[in-house]
Amino acid sequence: MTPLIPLLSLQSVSRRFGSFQAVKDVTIEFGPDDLNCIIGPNGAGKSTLLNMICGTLPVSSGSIRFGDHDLNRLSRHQIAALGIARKFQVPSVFPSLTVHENLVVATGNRETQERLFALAKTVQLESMLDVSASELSHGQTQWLEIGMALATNPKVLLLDEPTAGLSPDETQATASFLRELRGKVTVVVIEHDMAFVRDIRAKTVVLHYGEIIATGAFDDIQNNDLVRDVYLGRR
Amino acid sequence: MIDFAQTLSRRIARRPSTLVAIAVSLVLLVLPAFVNAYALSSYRDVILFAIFALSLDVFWGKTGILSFGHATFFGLGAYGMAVTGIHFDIDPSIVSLVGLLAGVGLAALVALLVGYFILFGGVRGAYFTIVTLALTLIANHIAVGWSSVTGGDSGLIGVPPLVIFGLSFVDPFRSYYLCLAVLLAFLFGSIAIMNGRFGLILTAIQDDETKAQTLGYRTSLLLLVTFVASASMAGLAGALYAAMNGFVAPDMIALLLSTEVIIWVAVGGSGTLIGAIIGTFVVWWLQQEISSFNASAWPIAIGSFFIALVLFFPNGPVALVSEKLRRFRQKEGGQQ
Repeated sequence: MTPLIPLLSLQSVSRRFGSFQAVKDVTIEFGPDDLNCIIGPNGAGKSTLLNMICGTLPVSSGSIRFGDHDLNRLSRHQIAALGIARKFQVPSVFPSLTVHENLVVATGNRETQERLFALAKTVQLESMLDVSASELSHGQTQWLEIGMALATNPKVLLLDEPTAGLSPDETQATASFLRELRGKVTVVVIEHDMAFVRDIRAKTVVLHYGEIIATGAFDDIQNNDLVRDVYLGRR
Repeated sequence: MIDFAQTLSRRIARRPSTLVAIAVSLVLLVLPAFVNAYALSSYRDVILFAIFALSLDVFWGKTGILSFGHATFFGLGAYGMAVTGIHFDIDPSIVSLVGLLAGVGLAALVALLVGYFILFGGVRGAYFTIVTLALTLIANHIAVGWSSVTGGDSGLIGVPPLVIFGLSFVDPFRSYYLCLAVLLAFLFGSIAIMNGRFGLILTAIQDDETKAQTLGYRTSLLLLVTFVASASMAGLAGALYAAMNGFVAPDMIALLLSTEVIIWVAVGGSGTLIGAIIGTFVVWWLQQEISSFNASAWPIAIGSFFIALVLFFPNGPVALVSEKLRRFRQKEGGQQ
């Protein structure tokens, strides 16, 4: 998986917490408008990887580049301003604000009311604009957060387990939504649900104990013996 | 015109605290018609304390970060005014204006310096509260210890009365309306700002600062701007208080005042803005009533009152009424 002109590239990235090596010497390149998926068992280092990309955690070694920018040198808000948006593993919206206000905050000064309504419609919350975000269901909160990430007009969208806690119908809707994003924005999804990963037909990276053990199309990945061993717990 | 009126009424209906703010403003505007000059001077001082309480609510109520050192900024404003007026030989026609600038500037500068290091240093929550508490202790020690400038324990007497552009504010009626004008300007200015995009962003930061950062906001800078604005408001209240009462004392830069202002805001409900003003008047009225029976009963009464508030109305009475109104409207909307 090596696109000709990577938009986002990680070179030999490692992250240690004391003596524990959460991410080890990871090198990945994400091309413009690619749909990518990072999979791996719990504790594989997937969320740590996203945390380092969006500046929530500093890297211990290695470099992360976005176009000409060295993300290691930038703070969270600067990384966001470059066009890297993030949906957290635990749904993270502003519960004191309404759905509309959450989207307004996410857009900064960029969007008109029409565009906000269109965004709300994209995430199927157009009829709930005046509802407090604290009153949304888990699935609606996940979608609102995705809507907020999209509201920033991102070049890269990082989604940490977007289907966690969703019903089968909501999961299917999320898959279809992500497929629609292909070709419009670079998407990096962390996911556990293999059916979902198969469904979105993304380029896939498999992490295990912080290391990349396989990359490629999902069909190749699912036939990879090493990956099967890891997922079946034989390794 | 009709459209404007409709838009205004819709906005007011959405924010009941704005309606309460208008009602309180009207009461304060007509108050001088019903009280004598002495009482009016007392109400003027309460209005200055209400500005001080509002300044705390702008920061604490809207960012969720409690400053336990806000009396520092009130006191700096007061001492800035007093020291400028007493120790410097400034033309009497401009001494008040220079004093106001010195007081507000001093409060803003200290807030900027302290705020920069602690907010950009990532100090939040209880740690911020402790640092600001320490700030008041330090400021109080300086006010008491640097007696050649501050007058020490006795403070400074003889602060020149307020004269701005040749207009004297010695008359209680005039000084009352000046303070009220400042209060209403700050109140409605704060309501407008906090109900707008900036207020939304501060609420978002209060909810989840990391999330706000990942949406591209420089949260430390926004918090610093709010902190300095809040300190400047407190400084102006202190400067006006010193000029209108003619003295400053270390009490104005002490921990007790920092605690009292928290109680005023908590009584009215933090984050409501108008609640800070109502809280100041309610606590002041209670203090007058209780002290008239027994002067030493007041500290026990205020402590018990505060505990009762925390237990039964943790967000304050104004927030309780706002919440009831919101639920009522939601219920009505649901029935329609």
